[in-house]
Amino acid sequence: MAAGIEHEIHELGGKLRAAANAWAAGDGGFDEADATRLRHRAIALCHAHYRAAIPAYRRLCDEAGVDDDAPLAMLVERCTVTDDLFKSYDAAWVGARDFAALSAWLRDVCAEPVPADAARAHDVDDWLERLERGGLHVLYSSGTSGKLSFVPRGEASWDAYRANGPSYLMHQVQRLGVDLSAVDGAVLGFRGGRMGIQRAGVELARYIPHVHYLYDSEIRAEMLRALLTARSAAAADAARAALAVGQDEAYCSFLGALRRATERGRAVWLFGAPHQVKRLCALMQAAGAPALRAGSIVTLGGGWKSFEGQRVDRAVLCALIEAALGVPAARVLEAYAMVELNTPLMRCGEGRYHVPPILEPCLFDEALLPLAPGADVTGTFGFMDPTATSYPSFLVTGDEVRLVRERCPCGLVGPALVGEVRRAPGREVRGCGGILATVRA
Amino acid sequence: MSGTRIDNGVSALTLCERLDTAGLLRADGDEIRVPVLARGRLVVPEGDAVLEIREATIDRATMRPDGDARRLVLPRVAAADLLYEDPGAVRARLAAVPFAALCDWLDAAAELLEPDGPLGARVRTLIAAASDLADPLLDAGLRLNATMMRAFAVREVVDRELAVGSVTGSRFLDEWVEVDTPVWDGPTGALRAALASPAPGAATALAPSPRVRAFPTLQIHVTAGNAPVVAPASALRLLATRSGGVVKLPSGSILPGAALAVALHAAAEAHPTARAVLDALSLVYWKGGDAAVEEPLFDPAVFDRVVVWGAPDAVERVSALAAGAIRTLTFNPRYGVSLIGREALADDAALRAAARLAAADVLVWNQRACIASLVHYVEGDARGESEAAGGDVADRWGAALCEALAAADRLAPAAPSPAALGQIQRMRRGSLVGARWHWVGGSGRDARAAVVVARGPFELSSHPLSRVVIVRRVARLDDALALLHRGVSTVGVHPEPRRLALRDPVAARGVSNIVPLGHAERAFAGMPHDGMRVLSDLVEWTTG
Repeated sequence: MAAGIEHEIHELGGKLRAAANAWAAGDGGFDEADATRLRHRAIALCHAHYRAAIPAYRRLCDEAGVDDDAPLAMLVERCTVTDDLFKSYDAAWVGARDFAALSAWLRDVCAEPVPADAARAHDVDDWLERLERGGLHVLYSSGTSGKLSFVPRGEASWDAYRANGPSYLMHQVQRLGVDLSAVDGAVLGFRGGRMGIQRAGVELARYIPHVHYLYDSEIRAEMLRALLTARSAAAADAARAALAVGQDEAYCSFLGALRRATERGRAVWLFGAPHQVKRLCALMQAAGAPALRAGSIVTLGGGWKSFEGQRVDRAVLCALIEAALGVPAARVLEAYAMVELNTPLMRCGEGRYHVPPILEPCLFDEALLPLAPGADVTGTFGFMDPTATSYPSFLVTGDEVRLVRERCPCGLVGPALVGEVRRAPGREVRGCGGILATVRA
Repeated sequence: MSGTRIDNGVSALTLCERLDTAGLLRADGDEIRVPVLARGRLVVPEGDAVLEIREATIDRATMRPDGDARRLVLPRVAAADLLYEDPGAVRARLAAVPFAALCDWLDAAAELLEPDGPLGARVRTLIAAASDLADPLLDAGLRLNATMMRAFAVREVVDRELAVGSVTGSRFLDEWVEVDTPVWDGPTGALRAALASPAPGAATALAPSPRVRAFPTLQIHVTAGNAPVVAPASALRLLATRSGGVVKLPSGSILPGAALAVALHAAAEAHPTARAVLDALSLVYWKGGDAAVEEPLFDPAVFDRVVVWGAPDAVERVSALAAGAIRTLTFNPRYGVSLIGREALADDAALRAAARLAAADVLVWNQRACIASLVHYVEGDARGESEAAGGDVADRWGAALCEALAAADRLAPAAPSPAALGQIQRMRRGSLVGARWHWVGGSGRDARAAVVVARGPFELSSHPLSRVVIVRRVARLDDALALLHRGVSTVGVHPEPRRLALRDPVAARGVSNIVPLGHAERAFAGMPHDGMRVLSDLVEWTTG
């Protein structure tokens, strides 16, 4: 029965991708009511599937008094998980190389079988590779305390992860007149690896034959962990060196690749985090490098994160990109994405992150209770992504957003995030009762 | 600096009349104008040179926000208003103030602050409107603020904490105390004797006996707002050492410090001998991180000590400002835990009694104090299927503790703030998903307290500090030792024989207080704080 439900969910996922395609095309073929009906059906099935197949989700439902037939509003209120779920393992297991325990934890938050072989891993990267060989794709993201979040996807969810974005993003690419066969890719990241933020660059390579990476290697989880948990500047430097992050030579090489593309008359699709693109622009200007060929595109992703101190307004960054790279603001794209999300939100020319009809957005107040939907509501962003069946993809984020529901001047309909996405007000850390950030008890 | 000086008053009633006339420390609509003290001058908010702090007001019946807010308006101060042109002269004037005169002045200020008096009642009303502390806790805190300023209390603390041998501490503040001990001349002693030997026939001059004095210092205290007693207590440490300096009031608890400023200022009129201490004292507010104030203020040529309480970012920032050039005492973020021996679960009566003791340690400033218990380790064997989820021993404890917290809520009601409620929900749907929750008042928006039986280790960074207790089963209490460290300030142990048996190994982990369960807030004159004899660190021990 579980397999039947899962099959139906992914069939609905396919229909939702088709709806998203029609939505993005903006040619009048999008039926919003039908998409909503499909999405709500898929969400209801996902809930039943999660409840049957994911032990942690089942316990959450039991504790919250939620059964299979709960209405959508109840699911939003009681069953949206937080990103902490994906790092709710004991960090000591990683230090002790107890991958049997880590695998058991993964099984608890996951609807997929966890390959038994993974328990015999010797480090995190080996564990991830063994999982992948067994058909479980696990992406990770970095946490603030050096703890990695692990998000598992079986084949069907993995396919959705790779297919959802292109189903609607390609219209934006086409509207910009991009000929994928005539551009080179340039990714300010690693050639590969399982870190969520790096995947967009990797996926780009599916569509563009020639891609140059800032680091011509895979990012390794163990190296990242060493960097995040470094207890001294020297240890951090050593970890950074091992990761090859921030090395000037890599940027010099990258500049060379951009120059060669320009000399060959090739436009460039550049992908990077804002702080990286800002650095690249500064280096381009310092080197007197020529602008990129007309038709080039810049895609920003990942936000400023720990580089918040370098943050500049988007308008300032766009002006810098235009001055240094010759790419006008209209061709600077940006995505709202996270490792738990199969369906990224793209920013339109009007500065709005549009929510594709695949996703059910929801907002929460400070007490993490749902806010009533409205034309213009501000709160903590959450979403239900019913194309993910491997993990509970009803998620409340840590981002504070303004969500509007109106036709955008860009032509897209449906909900959209307006303005800056900011971290929701943090946990109260008060007085001497404040808590050590990395303490386990 | 903006602001004007107001006249001194000596009785609480007169003082309140003058505050009324000046429009200070009273609710005018949604605004309260708050004076501060800058080098002995009472400064009031005027014109544009003001700072505003917005506070949510509380429905005292439910202890939840009532949807309204108010503004505290304070004068903006500059670093120049707080510095001293001649720090040496200031220290000398401070050293000349007799300790008895200091105590008399503080006693008069304490009288003005008495909760039953006009000023105490006025301030209590203002504080209560935005405080999430239940009446019994708030009243106890405000009474403590007055009582600890009493002459007998100040003298007791100083006499014990600065005592050396049989000499009471206050003598070291007042005079050069002769040291009754053998003196060693050092390696140059013999050379000195050879170089400066008396003329033949002349008597050998005896060196005077060494003496020691606890000299005043100039201090900066950056305080925390987790409880209404922190800023006054920190200020009192400065005063008890008869020192001068700046106390930064916390945004979360401005009014108790402002009341202290008003009382000290008013009381000084009748105590001119102590005036030098008032003139060297500032009780002010600026927004933490305001570089325009902080960078010039933390001047090692002026200040001798920095005391910083509070959240990690404040401690880190202020420590960086002191930059190793000013001796800094940090009261770092810490927390408390409870160790519950298996004897507590022997029968229902023992369980109920122990849970009620444990609840008391949870209530300390609604868990916002570093001594409050956040995590309970309960000793017991795993049994069957329940083992995977923490064991039924932990569940029994969780249920009993929940009942005790419900009883506590009837005595001293409290409710998590909206942000804390949000954090509880994040835990429930993230790091502690599927843990067994025992709620006081129901889940969701109705939650008033909770006990969570956790399946495994828990990261304290996500603790909401609002009468939420994490319970973990351990096979033996000794197993919990591995989870203790310098970040744990206080451990309550039950029953008493187990505490005595564990006291040394717990202390060896860096824990500062190992107390009987239910006594986390235990204090006494001369008690160390976070492993330090604080007054002793705040004076300059000088030989002469």
